[in-house]
Amino acid sequence: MAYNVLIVDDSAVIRAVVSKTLRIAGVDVGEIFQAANGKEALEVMASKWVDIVFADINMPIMTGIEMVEQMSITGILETLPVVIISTERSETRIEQLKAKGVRAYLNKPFTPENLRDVADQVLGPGKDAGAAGKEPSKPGETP
Amino acid sequence: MSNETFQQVVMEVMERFAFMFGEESDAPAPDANGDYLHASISFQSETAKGELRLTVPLSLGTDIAANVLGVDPSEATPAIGEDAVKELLNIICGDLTARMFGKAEVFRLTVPTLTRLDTKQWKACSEAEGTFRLLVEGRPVLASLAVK
Repeated sequence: MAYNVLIVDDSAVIRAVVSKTLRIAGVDVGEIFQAANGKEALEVMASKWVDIVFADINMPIMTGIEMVEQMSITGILETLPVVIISTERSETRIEQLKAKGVRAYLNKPFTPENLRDVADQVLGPGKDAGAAGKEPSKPGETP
Repeated sequence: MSNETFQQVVMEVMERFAFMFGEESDAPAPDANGDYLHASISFQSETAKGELRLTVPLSLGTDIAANVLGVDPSEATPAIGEDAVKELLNIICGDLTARMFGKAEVFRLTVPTLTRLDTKQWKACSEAEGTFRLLVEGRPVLASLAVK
């Protein structure tokens, strides 16, 4: 079973790199959705089945932190894991994000091994994915 | 923090992100023709704030994008080159603030902005106080840091 992935970053280059690196790293990827900011990402989550979100922090319109806060309010964060991929290296910031419900944090630039380790940590190695492409990732639904 | 550390961060990030190697150089711009990409980003915490700037030839921007994406340089458009240079500066900023102020400090970074410069503007940039010059793949890169 393949995982549907949502990549959220205002940089098209980074979105392409994450997408390519996921495949190089051997993560079983189904559909890959992309969004340029948190607002677009929430719209994707409301209309598509997503198994994991990789999101930047520093984006225009809606930051990754605001997106996570919104996901927490609506309850979707309980069932949809978010991995932050950012240039920010503050350990205080990382702890704050984890306290908000973010599952993992990865610094840019990253290697395929880094991404594989994080995907394994969050999704579990060899774990069956959810029903990819079947239903939107709405609050309260379990992938 | 010494300018030497700043240069070291720029070169290290250039290697890790773009797989390119830089060396310090006082040489003049080798090519007076063409556009330059001038990116800037600001950072602020409760105790400090500042701004980073990076200026590279447009051709180097597209080569950086090609390296990052693992594609032929002919496939990298100028727009993708601009995007890659902004992201390069973003990573430099994250790395530098952690080294300067430690990992406990939380910084808010602005979204990087980018403008095009002509050779005359590039020259003015290169002569600005606090700017250092690198040669990356034989092409000039300017970087500056201002901390308040």
